[in-house]
Amino acid sequence: MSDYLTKQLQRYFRYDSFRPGQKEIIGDVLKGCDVLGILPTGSGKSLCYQLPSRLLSDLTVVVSPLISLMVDQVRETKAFHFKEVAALHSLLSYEERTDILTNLHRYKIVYLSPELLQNRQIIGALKKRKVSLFVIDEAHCISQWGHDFRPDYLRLKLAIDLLGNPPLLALSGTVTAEIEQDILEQLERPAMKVHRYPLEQKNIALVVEKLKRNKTKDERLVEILRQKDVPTIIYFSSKQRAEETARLLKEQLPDREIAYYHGDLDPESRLKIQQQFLYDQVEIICATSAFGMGINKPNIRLVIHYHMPPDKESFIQEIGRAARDGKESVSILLFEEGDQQLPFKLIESELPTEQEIRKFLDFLYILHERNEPLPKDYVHVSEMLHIHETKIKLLKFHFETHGIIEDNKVCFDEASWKRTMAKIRQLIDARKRVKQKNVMNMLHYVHSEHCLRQELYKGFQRRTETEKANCCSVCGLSLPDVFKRMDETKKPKTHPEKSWKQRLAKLLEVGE
Amino acid sequence: MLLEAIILYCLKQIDRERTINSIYHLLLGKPSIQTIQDAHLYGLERFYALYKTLDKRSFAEQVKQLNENSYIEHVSHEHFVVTVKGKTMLEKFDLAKYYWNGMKFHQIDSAFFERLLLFIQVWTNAKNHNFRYIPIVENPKTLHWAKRLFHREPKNYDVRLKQLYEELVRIFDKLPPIYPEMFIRQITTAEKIGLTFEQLANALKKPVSDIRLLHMNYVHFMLEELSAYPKQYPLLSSFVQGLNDATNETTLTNSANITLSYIKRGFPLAEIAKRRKLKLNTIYDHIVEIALHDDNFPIEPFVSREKQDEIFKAAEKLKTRKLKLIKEAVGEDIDYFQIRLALTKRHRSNGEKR
Repeated sequence: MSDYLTKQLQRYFRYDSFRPGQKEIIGDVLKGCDVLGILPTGSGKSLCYQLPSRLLSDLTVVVSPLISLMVDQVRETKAFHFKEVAALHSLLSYEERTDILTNLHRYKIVYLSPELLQNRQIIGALKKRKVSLFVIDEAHCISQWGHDFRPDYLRLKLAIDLLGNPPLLALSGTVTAEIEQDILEQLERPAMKVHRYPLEQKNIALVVEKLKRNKTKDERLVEILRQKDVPTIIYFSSKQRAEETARLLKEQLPDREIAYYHGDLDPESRLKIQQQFLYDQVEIICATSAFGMGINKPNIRLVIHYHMPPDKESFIQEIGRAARDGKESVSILLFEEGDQQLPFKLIESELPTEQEIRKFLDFLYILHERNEPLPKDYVHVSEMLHIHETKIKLLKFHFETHGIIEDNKVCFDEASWKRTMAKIRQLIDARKRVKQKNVMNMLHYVHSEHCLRQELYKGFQRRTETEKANCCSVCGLSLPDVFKRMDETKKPKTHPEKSWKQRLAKLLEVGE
Repeated sequence: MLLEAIILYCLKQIDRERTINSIYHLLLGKPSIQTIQDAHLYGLERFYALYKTLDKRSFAEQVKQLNENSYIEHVSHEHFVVTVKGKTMLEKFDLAKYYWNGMKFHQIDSAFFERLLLFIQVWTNAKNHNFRYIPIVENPKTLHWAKRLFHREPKNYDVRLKQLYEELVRIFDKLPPIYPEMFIRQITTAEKIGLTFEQLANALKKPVSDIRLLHMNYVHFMLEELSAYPKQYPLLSSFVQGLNDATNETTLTNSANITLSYIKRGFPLAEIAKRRKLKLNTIYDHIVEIALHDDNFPIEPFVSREKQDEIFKAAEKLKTRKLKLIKEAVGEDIDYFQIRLALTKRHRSNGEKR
């Protein structure tokens, strides 16, 4: 079996060997077991279903939470000459969607956003095609205790039943033991085989820098970037700040190529900037958390957090984009007093307030009185009530699970509404507490007086192993020493003095 | 700066007869017959769909700037007029030297450029025997086109790249050097990824809107050149083949096409509306659209020669293209539809485009 798998790997992907965990997970998947795979980001999670999809007779369905991630994955898979892939999501036009659905037999892998699993037409088409393997990417999204809970993920179980219970493969980069249990329960597969591999990336040194009053983050940032010219991502929690800082850095470091990246850029620019970073044309990216998923750049050496992320899971994922080539890299988190307030404020603004819940209920009551259905368009409802779309989505989800909304129709019963209200309040409070706890855990990391590595991976794995000296800023790491050991980016030589004709000839590779 | 000049020019042309929003629709290339007819009426064809990515906010911001700098002033809530200061400023921009021709090329310009970009990426990578890369163009139609072309002669990259180089040099030699400079930075090859418009604007120290408009300028120049001398550019000309041609009948909206087929079979307009379950006004829109598209489409069955003359005279006398004013000045037996239709004709007989 093992030789056979390696041969197939070479045949389809031209890799010589598996990375840790891949072969074990794929072996179990091909045996037809339900599997939960917990592998660090960048360790080739997607291969765990891509290779089986080649060897299984029918379709592999992959549920993925973010459309942009899906699109990136399809693009990358196609670049590997694996063309039988498609993505179904809400941004497709009616024609594009119908085209994929009527030609399902052409595909081996179909990526799907979770909300589409409620669509009967889609379930019907998938059932007809037959599903060999059902993959849940970012499986932690199913847990209400996780950092990235998505209500749509709770509907997966129903869709899996409707598809005739095909074998499952759940994958995640960051799952604590607690959430692991919850995933098995939510999917109702207690016998699922769990494969857990260490998340820790030994090649990434951890540094926390607490700034004193006499220096701003921007000044320190410029200092660090001046010391070393290597591929760098700087993470921000606001789009505006990412853009502003990119502008400032361009002024301070005119000889570096710097770009910014966030969700508001048009798709063409997003693709180009990702690619420029891959080609080492852009060296420093100022980004929000939207950047990095699905990007496989081997030589990222430095990940700086300008703002503290809201939980350790996000932090581990983001620093995990460095050192994919196994070479030494650094994570630097910049912290100044007051930084802790921002994530707590964000939590307040992310979850519906008491007033918003009431407003939504009043709205439902009016619909009930008028005997009108709930508009399908979230954006429309959101604009009408001045409540953020994600909150509407969350409220609608809870009202649906409690039978207040059924098939977009409002069902009124005073007693049950009161009970539901109380339940929803409880749920929102619980969710708030989870998020607050996550921020606290992140703060423990920032303020830790013992090894940062141990603090960070606590709950995710038992032991950490790194040589003391290269471990973290608490264990005595010296940033200048690490920098000294790193290679600088090789810059392509430019010849601006040449005429445009000479440059064009060179670019098109024709001798003049 | 260029965008400001274009807005000024358009405002001057429509001379308070249309709202400021009509200019936004024009630049965006709104496919409504009103916008298209306005473009013809006021000699603004070249600006139609010249800035397809213009967002409402930046347009409003430009208008605000023009107003604050007293280049334009309000005459009513939605109407502006160009001030003397604005006219002086407009003269400094010699808009006539640009090659924009939106009405002619708006349906093929982006597709043509996408093909050119993708061709360069695919063929330079092929030359390096690299087949693992992410295409810089995502439009499935363009990808399909490149794939078919490539499979026809997968080994011929040296010849094709040389040919492309020669044709590009021939065409760019006719333009100021800023255009090839832009082009070189925009293309993606085996070695490098092209710049975004914003990056290009930073590199050349110009506003993004200027860069987009200069980009359209050289693309339209190329298209004009290719349609005038296709034999000099066999490879580049082949990139245009199969793209929708604006002079073609097929670019009529589908619905107008169906109406046309009924007219050809001799159905009266009211009957067409009834059979197609459409409003008569919609059928009128179709007739205007057809007349704008086809110079030889006879409008006499709908508005007689005498009525046409009466309409022209009123328009000349009042120096206006406002339908309402013309309507008040002509006989009661002439309706709005006939005025609109006659005006398509006048634009033609004058033969003036700019």
